Amino acid sequence: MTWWLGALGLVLAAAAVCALVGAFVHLNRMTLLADAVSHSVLPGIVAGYLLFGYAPWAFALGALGAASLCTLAIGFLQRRTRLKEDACIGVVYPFFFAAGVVALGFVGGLDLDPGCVVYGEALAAKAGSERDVALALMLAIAAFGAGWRAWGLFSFDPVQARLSGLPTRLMQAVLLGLLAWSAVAVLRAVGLVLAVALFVAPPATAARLTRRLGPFVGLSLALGLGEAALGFALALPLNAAPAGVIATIGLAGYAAVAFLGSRTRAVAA
Amino acid sequence: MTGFWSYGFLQLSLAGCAALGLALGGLGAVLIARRLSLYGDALGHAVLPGVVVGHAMGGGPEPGAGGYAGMLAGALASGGLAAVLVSWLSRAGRGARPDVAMAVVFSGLFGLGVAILSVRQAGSAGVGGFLFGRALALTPLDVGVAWAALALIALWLATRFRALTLWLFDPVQAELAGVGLRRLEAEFMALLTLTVVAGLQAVGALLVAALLVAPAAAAFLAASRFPAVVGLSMAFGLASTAGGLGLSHAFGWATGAAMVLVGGGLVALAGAGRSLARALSARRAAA
Repeated sequence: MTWWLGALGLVLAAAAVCALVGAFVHLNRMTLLADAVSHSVLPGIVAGYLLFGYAPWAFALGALGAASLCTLAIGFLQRRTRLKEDACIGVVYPFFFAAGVVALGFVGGLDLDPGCVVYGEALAAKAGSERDVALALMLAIAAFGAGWRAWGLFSFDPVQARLSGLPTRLMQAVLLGLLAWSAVAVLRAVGLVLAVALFVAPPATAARLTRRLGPFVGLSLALGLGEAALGFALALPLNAAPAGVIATIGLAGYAAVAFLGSRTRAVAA
Repeated sequence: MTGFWSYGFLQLSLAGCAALGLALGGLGAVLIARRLSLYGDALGHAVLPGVVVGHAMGGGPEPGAGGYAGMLAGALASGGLAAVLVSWLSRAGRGARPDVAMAVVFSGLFGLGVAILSVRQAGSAGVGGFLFGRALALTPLDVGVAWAALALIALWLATRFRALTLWLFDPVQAELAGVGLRRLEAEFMALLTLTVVAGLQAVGALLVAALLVAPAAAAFLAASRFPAVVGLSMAFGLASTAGGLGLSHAFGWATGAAMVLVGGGLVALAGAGRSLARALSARRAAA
């Protein structure tokens, strides 16, 4: 049993969760919201810990609350002042992140440090990380597997979905909850950088290759797993942080697919 | 505040952070007027790989003059690469979406920076310096670079203010008046990159953009005329960095984060003050 096998398993599981949830986040055009969640997960975890104690569900609830507060604050600034949307986002996101960094500094009993939150510590993950990530993966599979056709309709045609009697508000809430839960679960394992990269890059790449729901989700999952495995394999001999290498590969894959796509179209035309 | 002043490193920090606050505030006003706030955030992330490589080529754990030249060249290169990638990926092929392209490019480049850092430092020990800054451990050279950036920005604002105002608020007229827009834009980007590199040393890659945007946003809420906005924005920038340093010293808060919190507080105050002023004038009008 080599020492890095456990870490590889953890990174792969995190990649699977992010690719799966990220696929539906992408379809529902919530990429900016994923950004909001990733910025506010830090103060959220601290708030959840202070309110409910040391438990993964408390962290997820806190992260969700903080992310909602973050988007509400942006909306409020945008409506009530003459600042444009980009300036509002530029003020609010870092404010939440900074609040998290400061709060983390004087809350005892939370074994997180801001540095590790950013780049993760896959190679030295604490016990319990595996359980949180595995639970997030099972929740995501259960939620999407149970209502596969409904999720497809909801993602591609929300109006039709509501007209045909689907509980669209509930589904939106479930998707948000899954996003927050998986962000919290993978945070300690792989860090924020990689969490954002894993949420965004595989679905974005898959969306350039197919338009059908099944292949899209499958491809997104395969890309996430492949990029994570390749990045991990490269990072070990280089002695680099796996999170950084995997994020770089995500960008490389996206750019390569875009490049090939524009080439083949040029040839066909 | 005699206790505050008795530490040499704090005097140095205050000198550097004051210049940074003024510089970031001045450029931030232009950034917001150009609707480029998100680009500022992105730039802080995207310059990381270039800065790290340039820093390595300059040698030494504390950047010397060569290190700064390397960091600046690297920052220009990776910032430029990011801009090219985003604009190409937002357009190329089917399924292209600007928000998605931006998120993928910046997380990828930031990841590349983290990966290079981790290799260089064999583990993750010193990564924190680049990510969160080291405002309390600025070197005299850091302070010098910050003041140089501020001097350049002040000179640029003073000599190019008319052209700048035209560019920001009436591009058509600017074109007709023969203002070299491309040159002006290039000057702005170069100054922005220089200031972000200087700011990286103090507050880190994750939060430097916030100090560009927050003081300027507060200034746009508090004043209407652009010259007043620029002046106020510089003052608010100074208040954010100096106030953050004070809070950090008094309560032990993380320094860069404390500066961002002060900046955010200024936005809230300016917004509240504006609503209050409007309510008062409405009441006076009714009476």
